[in-house]
Amino acid sequence: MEIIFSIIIWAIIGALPAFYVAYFKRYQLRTALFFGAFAGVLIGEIAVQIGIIATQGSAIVTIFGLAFVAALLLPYGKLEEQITMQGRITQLAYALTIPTALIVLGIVIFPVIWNVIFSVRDIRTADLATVELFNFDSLTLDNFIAQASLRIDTLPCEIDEETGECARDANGNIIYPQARRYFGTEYRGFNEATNFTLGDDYYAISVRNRDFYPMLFRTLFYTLASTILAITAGLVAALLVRDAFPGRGIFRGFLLFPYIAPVISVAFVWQALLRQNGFINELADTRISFLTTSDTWLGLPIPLVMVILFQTWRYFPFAFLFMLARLQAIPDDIYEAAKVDGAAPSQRLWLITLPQLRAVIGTLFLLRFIWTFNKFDDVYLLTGPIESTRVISVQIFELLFTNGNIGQASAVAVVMALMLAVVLAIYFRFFLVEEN
Amino acid sequence: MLDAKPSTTATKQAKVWTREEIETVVARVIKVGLIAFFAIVTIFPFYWMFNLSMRTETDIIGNPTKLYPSIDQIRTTLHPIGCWLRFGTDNPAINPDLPENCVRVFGQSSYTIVLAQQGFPPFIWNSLILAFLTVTLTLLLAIPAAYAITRLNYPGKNMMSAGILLIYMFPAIVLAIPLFVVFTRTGLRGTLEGLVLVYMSGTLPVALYMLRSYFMTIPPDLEEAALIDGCTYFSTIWRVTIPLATPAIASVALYTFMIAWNEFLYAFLFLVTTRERWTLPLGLQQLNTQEVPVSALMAGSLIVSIPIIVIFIFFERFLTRGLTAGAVKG
Repeated sequence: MEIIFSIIIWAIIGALPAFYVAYFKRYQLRTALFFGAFAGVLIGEIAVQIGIIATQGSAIVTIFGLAFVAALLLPYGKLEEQITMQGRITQLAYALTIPTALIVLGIVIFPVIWNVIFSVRDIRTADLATVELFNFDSLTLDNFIAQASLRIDTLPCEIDEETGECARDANGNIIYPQARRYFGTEYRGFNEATNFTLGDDYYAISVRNRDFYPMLFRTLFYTLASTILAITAGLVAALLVRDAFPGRGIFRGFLLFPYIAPVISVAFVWQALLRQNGFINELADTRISFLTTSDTWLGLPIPLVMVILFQTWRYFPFAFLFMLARLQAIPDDIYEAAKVDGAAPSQRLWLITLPQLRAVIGTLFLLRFIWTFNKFDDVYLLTGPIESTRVISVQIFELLFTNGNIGQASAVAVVMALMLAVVLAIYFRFFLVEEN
Repeated sequence: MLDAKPSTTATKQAKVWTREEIETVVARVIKVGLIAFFAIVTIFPFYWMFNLSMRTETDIIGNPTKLYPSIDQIRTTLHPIGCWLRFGTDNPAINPDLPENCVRVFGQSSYTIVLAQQGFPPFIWNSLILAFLTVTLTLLLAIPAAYAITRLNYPGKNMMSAGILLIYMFPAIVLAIPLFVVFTRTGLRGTLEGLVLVYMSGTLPVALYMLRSYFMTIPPDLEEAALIDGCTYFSTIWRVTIPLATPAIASVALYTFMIAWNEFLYAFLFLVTTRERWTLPLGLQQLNTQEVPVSALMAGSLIVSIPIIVIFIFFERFLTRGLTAGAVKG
């Protein structure tokens, strides 16, 4: 399997320069591609195996060198007499796009497929040097089970042996058994996460990984909150900058600083501002370690609130620029007409400006939602991998880098991609506001 | 209520405030307040980097709200930088000609702690190489491809355009796992060349998207004229399209540079085991330990930010336009 893969790679490496030689020298592309692929395999696979060529790097150099020599020496072909204009344009388009397409294939599409494959295999960083990448014998769903498995059981109440009815505690509440004790060995690996009574039935919800579902919920909450706050702040900023005032140009430049600055720098300065003996605490006369504490505000962990504020601060300029561009495109006569009709400034804002921004807000919401959802470095650099800010991307990173469990990391990554797909589907189905 | 008729007790001269006027005044007050708020909130952290980087650890802990460093503190912080630039060392055993006031001074300045003691210059160099390689390769690949998907009609064109958009939306961490595995196996992990390839997964879609929207605004007539006059497609791109698209290409170059310069996740995953290839953000992140004073962290943060801020100040016009044109990811 690995050998087939390697042959395909070498065929592509050989065919690529052959394509360009044939294009410029006006030969039949198909023959050239075939010939190039053959030469590529010959040089890259066989010559390297036999030992004529020392390394794969020099094999690549040889292939491109030969193609270059061929391009210099070969006479021009007569393809133009046989091919239509459209055919030639198609060839040109491929000549222009193939390198990009190959790179995208190699570093995006190909990894995505592999990610799915890794998610159904037991594969760890420790045995990365020896593991057979193309072994598909032992595919398993264990990674998904370990992360996401969930069971909901109905449990009967404890029977009071004297009365033969449900046992009750001192407060008169019915006593239920623990799921672990009730199910015994069948329950192994699970933990009771929560339980509730619905009607007359008592349910116990059990999971293998306690943090998995809270983590998904946390990710969605963090994403929604950051997105909405960033767009709101961007809207306010855009309304401020729309009309001229002294220093507007400089002010507009200032607003973009958080967005363009390296994330590492701004994360560090936030850490410095928020530390226990830092500026904010001293100003407010408190001693809260904002980024590490397990305390909550209104039921929200303080570090998570800080991450949301950080995201808002960092990405409102993006929303600001978009909305400013849209605001400046609204024609003045609408406002003039409204003013003549007696609409006050607040009414003009509410009835003219905001409706005009609907489409751009819709687009911004989508873009910001996706990018915030995908974000890793902002969260990780600001608070580190603490539990209260462990969103899905941080969880994947931790599984990969700290636990060295590539299989489970890939499984969570698959879940992440699926969540994104679902959100996009819902958005396009129900919320899409048509631009123009 | 606001535009109610004047009460009977009011004199004739009393001004009647219309709703329009009241709201305009209120809006102005709110506006001034908000402008001040936004200006402080966006700029203050950057000023704070500078402020903390100029002060000593004891001063920072003792006076957390001190808003500016004293002249003396600035002088003691800047002086060792001069020594470092002139002599490269503060050790008289290495350089016997070292003047008295430059002996053992690197520990006194947050900047020389980072630059001389923690060995940041190679990281700066790595970051520069990486960024320049990424910019060059991205432009080299993206300009022809963007031209093809805007100007030429060919089978598979729509699929390519849609594909670019899709990649734009894809989480970097999902790509990171398989790339990590493959790079470890092929020995590309820990090399700058491999990292350039990975960075292109982020920069190519941005570049293609921005260039595509710009090419759409250039009328094709000029190119058609060049073609009719006997130019080949390649020389048309070279002589007509590229010169016309210079502003867009400039902003793509700047953005690609920024993406590569600021990137952290991939640099961390692929380079963390090879210290000599660390980039600036990675080097800075590894500095975040108990032993390193906050002032040094802030100095490092400022060193990482300065090139970006300088670029931004000089090329703001390009960047702002490019941003809205390409919806640059972040």
